Amino acid sequence: MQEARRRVVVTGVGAVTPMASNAEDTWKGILAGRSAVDYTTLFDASTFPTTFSGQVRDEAVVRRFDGDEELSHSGRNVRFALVAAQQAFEDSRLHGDEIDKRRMGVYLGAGEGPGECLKFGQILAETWNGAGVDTAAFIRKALRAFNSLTEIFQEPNVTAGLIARRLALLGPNMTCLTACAASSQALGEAAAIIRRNDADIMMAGGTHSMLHPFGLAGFNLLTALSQRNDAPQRASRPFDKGRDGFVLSEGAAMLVLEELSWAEARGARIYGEFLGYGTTGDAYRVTDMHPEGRSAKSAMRMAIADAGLRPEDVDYINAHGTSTGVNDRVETVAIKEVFGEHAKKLPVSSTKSSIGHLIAAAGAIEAIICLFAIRDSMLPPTINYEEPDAGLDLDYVPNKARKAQIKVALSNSFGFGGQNVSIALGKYPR
Amino acid sequence: MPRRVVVTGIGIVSPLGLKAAAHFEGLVSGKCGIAAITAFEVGDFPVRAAGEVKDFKGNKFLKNRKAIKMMARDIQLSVAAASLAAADAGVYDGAPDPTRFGVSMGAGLIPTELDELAAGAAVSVDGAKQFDLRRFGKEGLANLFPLWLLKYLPNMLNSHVAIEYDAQGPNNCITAGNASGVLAIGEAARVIERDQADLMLAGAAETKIHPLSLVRLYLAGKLSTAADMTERGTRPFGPRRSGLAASEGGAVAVLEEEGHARARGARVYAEIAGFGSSCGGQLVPEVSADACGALEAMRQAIADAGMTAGDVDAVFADASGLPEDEVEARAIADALGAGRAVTATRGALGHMMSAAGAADVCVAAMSIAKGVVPGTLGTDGTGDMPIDVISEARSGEYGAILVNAFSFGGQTSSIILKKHA
Repeated sequence: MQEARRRVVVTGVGAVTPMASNAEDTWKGILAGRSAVDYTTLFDASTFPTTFSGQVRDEAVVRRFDGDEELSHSGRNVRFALVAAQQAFEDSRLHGDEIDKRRMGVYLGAGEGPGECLKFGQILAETWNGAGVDTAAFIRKALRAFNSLTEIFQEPNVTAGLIARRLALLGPNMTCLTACAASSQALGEAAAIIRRNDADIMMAGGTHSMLHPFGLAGFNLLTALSQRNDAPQRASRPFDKGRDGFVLSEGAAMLVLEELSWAEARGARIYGEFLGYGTTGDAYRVTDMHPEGRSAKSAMRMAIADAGLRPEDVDYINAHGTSTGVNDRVETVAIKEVFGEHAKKLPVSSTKSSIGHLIAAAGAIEAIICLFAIRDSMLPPTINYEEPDAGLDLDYVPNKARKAQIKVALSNSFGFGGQNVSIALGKYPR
Repeated sequence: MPRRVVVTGIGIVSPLGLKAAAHFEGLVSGKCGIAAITAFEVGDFPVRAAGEVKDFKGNKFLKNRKAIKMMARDIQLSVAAASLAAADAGVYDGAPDPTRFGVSMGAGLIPTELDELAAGAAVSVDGAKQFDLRRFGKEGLANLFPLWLLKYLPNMLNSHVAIEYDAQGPNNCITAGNASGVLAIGEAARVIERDQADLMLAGAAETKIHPLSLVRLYLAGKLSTAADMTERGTRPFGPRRSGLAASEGGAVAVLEEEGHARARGARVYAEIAGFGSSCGGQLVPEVSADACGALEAMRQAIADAGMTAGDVDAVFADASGLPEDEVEARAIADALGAGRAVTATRGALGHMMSAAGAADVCVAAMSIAKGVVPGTLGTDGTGDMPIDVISEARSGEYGAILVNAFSFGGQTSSIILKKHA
């Protein structure tokens, strides 16, 4: 006889976003319909096709580690992550010594560090010989210019190692980087680790800052970003007819996942239950989504099936909703097909309209938003929604938050290359 | 009954050759894959040798050869290894059900090809020849390849593989440093176990044969400058070890649910028996990898396999010629006791980083199937380390082999393969 599956709940959350340096205030800003997008000041982006972003403007968060020797060369991504993880851990009211430290692990969807773009650009310019880079000269100059610790901090896995040591979470430790789906993937895999009894507690989430000259350049070259330079706050407008690309943001979000019976035994406050996880690959093109959202649909179906639910049990979808022409159309088509008649009364909103796209950290903050929506019985709005687009006719919760009972929320995250992840979160007790 | 996972296909491209058999036979016969760096001019850089994959043409391994222009070398190594593995397993034309066919790849940080970014940087200098962001934002961008970013995203290793083999199932990309290859394979086995897929292409690929990567490794104090490493490798565990050799490669295994493999008459190399991962929390390079993390990963893998330490017949170590090799030696002794045959392939191959652990998993599966474990090239004793490092290939019956892969960031991973019965 098969044993009942171990259930996983969320008992702590933490976040650093462009809206606020914690999860609750981020949520309040989103409910109030505010935009956290503004002109980029982290570096001179004034001549780039896009001059604005979802920059974390609370420099205290970044400076908090200034005296910390070990972190002296760490990037913003690492610092955001440590703040968010510390918040989540404190929020869970775990002390850390009530359980074998090897039963607590870390699974992040974490991006690379920002690196030293200006130095790199300078060396490249100096060693360019008209046809190519003089590699011998490049190596000579780079050895002098680069700092070994700064380079080490660019590795995506450093963050998960630091969190493990600082919070003494010495169980399974992994990092994935499936583009914009990464932290939803991390949550799904972390939950799978608990279900399988390889750990009882997992710190799971994401962190990323591609808000540096080469990151901005990369996305601008793909023409993936909005160029609404005259009105940054109105740039992220998912599902609206006038959408012209996503808004690049930075930040981190962390969730403490915990095995249910253990969490209940210690009297933990429970935000909600992690119900299901779906992951698929488009297997189509690295440049485009599959036009019918083939594997986006199967990811949603897989998450719903994994949760033991039917599509009509889903009360709210936090969409990937990037505000690009293609994503919002394909996602709408996919939702209509998966949910059929139920799609007509199923609220679907994109909180990227308020906080932009946190890339590898996007899924984790959106999971927290889903849990808060369930807790507060409030649907977060899609702001900047002004003009309907042909065929995009779901209930996008336009512009104003509204009351609704939510027992089950689904969060979609789709990434470049055709990474599709969908996770289902539910009210606890149901 | 839990679903069992077996290895039914193997593909490797490495400094020892462009197929798994060449890699395996090269290791068994004691070949060294480390040679003078030919990929680019290194000038007066103190390190002269590395493990290059020679005569490698990525497009030869592609169904859609045009896709090559979208692929950094790491990605090319990934699709090449996947191509060999898929052919070996008989799934080159796809799986019976594409939605039950997934991909799990380990990847490293992929630096831009220098020429590509330099074309933009060179036109972005001001009158004083200083790189100027205001120019870069306009003139610089105009000189860059529009799809530049997509060539360097780590998940493109798995995305391109999914496209080539129409694998529409679960798809993940593990970026846990040098532990990534073993973690990607272990995670893929978990996906099959929990019934979200029947077949997975799982492995890793990475190159450090890149000017910036060499600089990074050198600054971190990882690279050996030993003159004889082109013949004797980097002497893992040895008293005269002096660092690792940068290297590159790709290794992919086809993992398959046992019943699925049986139903289609697939040849089975070995079974995935157990998997464990942990974190020692070590970060700063001067501090050696924490033995606790290594020990914990091995113990978890043994427990997960339902085995005892005595069941493990051989160990493929993470050791690569770094000071930390000693920490692993003690952890192996603590986890398994003395007398286990320990081999370390990173001496002969250089450190293929993410791909190193994935290649070792593949070689371990072949060792079980063929009854021979490769030796450790260039080993000159282990000082007072309490383990039995084998210098020559050793034939025998291998019931279970444990493979270690640890990252510089503290992640540890161990996986156990066993004879399929």
